[in-house]
Amino acid sequence: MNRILLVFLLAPFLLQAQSEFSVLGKEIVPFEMHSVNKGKLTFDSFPNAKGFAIVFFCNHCPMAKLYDERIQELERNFSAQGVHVIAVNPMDSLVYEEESWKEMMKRASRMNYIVPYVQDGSQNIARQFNAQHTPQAFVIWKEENHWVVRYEGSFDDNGEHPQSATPFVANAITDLLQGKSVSMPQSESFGCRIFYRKK
Amino acid sequence: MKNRILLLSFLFVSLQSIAQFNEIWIPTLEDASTYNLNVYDTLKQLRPTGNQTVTIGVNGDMWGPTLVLHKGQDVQMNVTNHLNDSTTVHWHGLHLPAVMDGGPHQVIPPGATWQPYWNVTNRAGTYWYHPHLHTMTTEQLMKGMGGFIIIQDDEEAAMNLPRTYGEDDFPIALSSRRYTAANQIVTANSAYGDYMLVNGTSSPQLTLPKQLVRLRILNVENERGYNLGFSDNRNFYIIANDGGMLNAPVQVNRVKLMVGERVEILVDLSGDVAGSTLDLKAYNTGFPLGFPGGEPGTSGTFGSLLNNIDFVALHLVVTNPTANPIVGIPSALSNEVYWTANDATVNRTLTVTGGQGPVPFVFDNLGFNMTTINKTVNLDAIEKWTVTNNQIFGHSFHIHDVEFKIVARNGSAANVGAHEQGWKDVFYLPLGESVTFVAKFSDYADAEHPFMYHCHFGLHEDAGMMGQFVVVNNVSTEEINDADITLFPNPTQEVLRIANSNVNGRIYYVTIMNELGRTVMMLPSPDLSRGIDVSHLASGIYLVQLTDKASKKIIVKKFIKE
Ligand SMILES: [Cu+2]
Repeated sequence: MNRILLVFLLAPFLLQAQSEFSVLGKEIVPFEMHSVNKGKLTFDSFPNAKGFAIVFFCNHCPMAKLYDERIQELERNFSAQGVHVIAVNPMDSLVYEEESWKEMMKRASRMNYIVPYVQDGSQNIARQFNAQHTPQAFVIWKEENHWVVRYEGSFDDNGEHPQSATPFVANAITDLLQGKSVSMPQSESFGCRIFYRKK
Repeated sequence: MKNRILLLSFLFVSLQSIAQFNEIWIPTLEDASTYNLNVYDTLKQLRPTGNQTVTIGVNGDMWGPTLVLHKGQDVQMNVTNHLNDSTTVHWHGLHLPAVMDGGPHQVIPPGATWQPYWNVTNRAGTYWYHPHLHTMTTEQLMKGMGGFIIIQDDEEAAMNLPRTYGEDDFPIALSSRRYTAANQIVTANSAYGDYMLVNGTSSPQLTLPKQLVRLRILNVENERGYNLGFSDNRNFYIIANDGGMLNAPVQVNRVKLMVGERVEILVDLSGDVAGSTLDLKAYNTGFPLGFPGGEPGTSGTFGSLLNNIDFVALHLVVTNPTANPIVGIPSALSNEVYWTANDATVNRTLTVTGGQGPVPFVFDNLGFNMTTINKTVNLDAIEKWTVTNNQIFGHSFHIHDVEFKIVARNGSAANVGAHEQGWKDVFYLPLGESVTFVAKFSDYADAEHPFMYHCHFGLHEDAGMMGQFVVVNNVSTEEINDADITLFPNPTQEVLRIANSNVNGRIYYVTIMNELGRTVMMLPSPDLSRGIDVSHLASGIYLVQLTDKASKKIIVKKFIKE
């Protein structure tokens, strides 16, 4: 009896905790992007795009460091179907020496980035997504000319062993390409906290 | 029918393999006069399947190297913060200047190197280092940031005791963790872990030789206390408390160890069979309300799978003895003379308040404030502090700067435990008790920079159950002016020297920043006669901020690194 009561009391709290930062279903206003490897971009730079995987990323975080190749692979697998990947670095380049434009360029070139590596110097992109960590992934989908968040969370569920990971982001994109709703629209994200500068 | 039996035996085998243990990480032993500690965000496979866990490592992946310090010698620490967040490193139990202490004021921003140094005056014993960034201590500690400090001295070296690290002398940091669905360490709204973690190792096991062994046990939990004993109820011998060796071993078969406390014990395994097993257990069943980890319930902020039960803290396996085992429990160890209540010339009281609903536990109705000095102590004063707790729950009280003697519990010396008769820097403060200790505040006066006293439960400390005290003397210094200071050589390649022409002035702190304003070096109370080694800095223009001790005014100078 007590147990059941406890569960009832906890449940609303847990839901609230999960949705505290959630932007699932939110419309995203298209934004300009300054990338270190593909120049200046807008959403219009990707004609016929059906969706984007926006991956908040950075140079110095150990969990992010494991995902360079998987991000490029996602682009290779889905670009022909109109889904593109953008890596966005929201980290404060004054606080973290490794997050400078120059170091981002080096990273993109060393790891053979085919996706744009975007510096979010104002942190305005991250703010739209209410991004909390690097790495953290969002899938946005074009629905009647609006861009809507349809997945948020981790890229997958195994940092060091990609071969045994469940590819959350790829699965979400596959669902959306098939015209289905995303079967797992949310997962826990973790990594290095994004500290927002006061505006 | 036959299938059924087969299935059962299969199940049995697979259950056996699930219950396998991992030999614990024995942290690397480092013995040096200069230590470079690099603090990193990193990853470790802590759960048997699924994702890696984000951890914090010091020169490694979780729970840093064991640092050996020698009484009477100088030590230099170079702590570089590679974390995503700021941090601090506190040298728990060590007697040193407040500005070197690594409390909440010595914040190391990401990318900076903090360079405290001091002369080691503590007695031989088991101490430790850990983060102390206000409101962030729980998270950084639970991610595994910290390590042991072993102090050695001539007195202890002359004792007939096991002291071969990793062979007959073992460091054991007891803790537990709770994990999210994605295998990440829960650090908020959770006082207790569900799974043991010892020296950063899950499902921990330690293999011990069949002989007399010494275990240096630290409780590095967020909140849980351990009522420790062995699974066969054998006796063991306490030989040291927080502040080093006791005057004589104390024979027990249980010892309570609260957060932050250390105990060194001798256990005789010479009569055990090689290949046999034993458990170091927490006999935590049935304590009255207020014992941390005694709460009923298996989940939520104050519940845990390990609450109010007897559980295995560390599985032990006995193996063959080493070549020349130490034999015999010494009858006497040290000859310390402790402070008594009569030695104290100043009496102070602290009372635990708060703790109801959203109101955090604090001392004397006053939550921690970085800019409030709660107590002022005269240099060399011997003081008696009584901490009283009649408020809901137990605590683990810690004070910086000193090792103290517990002179009374509930007003009586007879109530002080046999296991806590030595020098201490942490004590258990149960619900409904007062604890009185006496300490001498010697050597390090600093009117500006405070030491901390606090509850060592991570969540309590982070929520403000902490106060600050300064130790003062009457020696004043003259104000230094900009014209008094010269940097040379400038430009420099190796060492930057700072000349101060005001002989009665003192530079209290030096911070070096690069052109972008990023702090790269933090030098508390630097010894200017040695100069400042800047050889590792990239070439460029740097700003040196010198804080004058008398006025706290900051003098800014530039130099060029070639
Ligand atoms: Cu407390």
